[in-house]
Amino acid sequence: MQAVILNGADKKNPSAAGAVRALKSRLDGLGWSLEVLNLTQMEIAPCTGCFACWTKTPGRCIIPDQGDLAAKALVNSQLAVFLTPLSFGGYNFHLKKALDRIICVVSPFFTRVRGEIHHQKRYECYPKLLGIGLCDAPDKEAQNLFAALVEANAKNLHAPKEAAITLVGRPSSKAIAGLVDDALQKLSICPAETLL
Amino acid sequence: MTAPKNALILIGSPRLKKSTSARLAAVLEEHLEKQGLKVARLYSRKVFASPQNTKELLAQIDTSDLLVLISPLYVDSLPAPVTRLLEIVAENRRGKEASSPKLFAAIINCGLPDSRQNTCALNICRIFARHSGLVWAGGLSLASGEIIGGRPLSQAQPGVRRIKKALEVAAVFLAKGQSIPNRAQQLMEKPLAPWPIYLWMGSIWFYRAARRNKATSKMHDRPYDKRAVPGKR
Repeated sequence: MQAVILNGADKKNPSAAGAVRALKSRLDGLGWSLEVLNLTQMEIAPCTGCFACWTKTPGRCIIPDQGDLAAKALVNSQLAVFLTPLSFGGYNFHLKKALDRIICVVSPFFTRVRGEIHHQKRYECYPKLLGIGLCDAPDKEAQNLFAALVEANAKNLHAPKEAAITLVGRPSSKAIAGLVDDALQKLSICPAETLL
Repeated sequence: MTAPKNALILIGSPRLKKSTSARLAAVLEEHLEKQGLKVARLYSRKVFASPQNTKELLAQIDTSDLLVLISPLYVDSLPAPVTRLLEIVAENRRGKEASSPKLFAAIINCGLPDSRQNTCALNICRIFARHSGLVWAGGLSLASGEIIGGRPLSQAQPGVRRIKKALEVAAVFLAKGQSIPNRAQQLMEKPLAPWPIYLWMGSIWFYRAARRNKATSKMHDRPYDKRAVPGKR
């Protein structure tokens, strides 16, 4: 099984580093492979809204940079983690830049997902989605919005399940591991008995 | 809030002048000017073309009483350059919150026929306003934006009249320093076409665009699937 972390945080961000460590440790134990894309260090231009990835080179963005790595990793994973400092309850610039470029993983045609109209699947399977938001101080409104955004993305990206957690301030490694374990359990990736 | 004297409209679409966002901005600008405001327009994509442009934007924001963001919806939230723009503005506003109160409103348009899909983006704008010491004046949510498809609103379908009216109502209230009323949103969210027809038209549009590019046979390709058979679903 394969997981990918799309990391929009600075590599030195202690909470982000803690979340990556916790995920690596837990997924290693379950026999998963983990790829981490540090988006702040990648060359990814913003989406230009040209629709070429639907009508010219279907399934592939025409911008020749590292933007395709995120889309490629996403469709070949069973778990995708969106790791980001919260920007007003949403994703930060670095993660959003990568996500805007992955609409090529769905088809331009339409379907209903959980009662809403969205784009059809392009691939047979899509990964489960885990959002990990980082914020300096508690902000219920922003944290709730982050969870709602991850849920909306899950519908858009045909994720079979989704979960969202927020790491507030500088939580301890133990606290981060606990939150990550809860989220993985919610995603049915980490059965409860393995947490004992 | 006192009535604003000047406004800055930030256009979030990377398609610049030919975007639906720019067409909505043109109508809003016209109505704000009718209310006596001096209005300037800026494109988020151009803001990052040079450090000088960014500096000018921040200076322009400092001198504006009303800011209106008009943006498309990208993957359930604001496009990345708009996100960056808001991050920079919030950073720049730190410490100036009390000294220069400003109104902030947002208009989000999405391509799908359900205006509720703009909710996350509008909430991001609302939280941005709180973080930046701006007075949140509400938002408008437009669905089926591709019906406008980057054409001037005067040339678009008859149903678009409601959108123009919504923008007029919003402009009247914003010009008084008040929030956008529900009435404007009610006008804005009425479907421009029955959704099955809209989706059918959308599918045809994508198919024709692919045909122009000689790519119809590839429309269901899975280029990143390690197990992919090209062209096979």
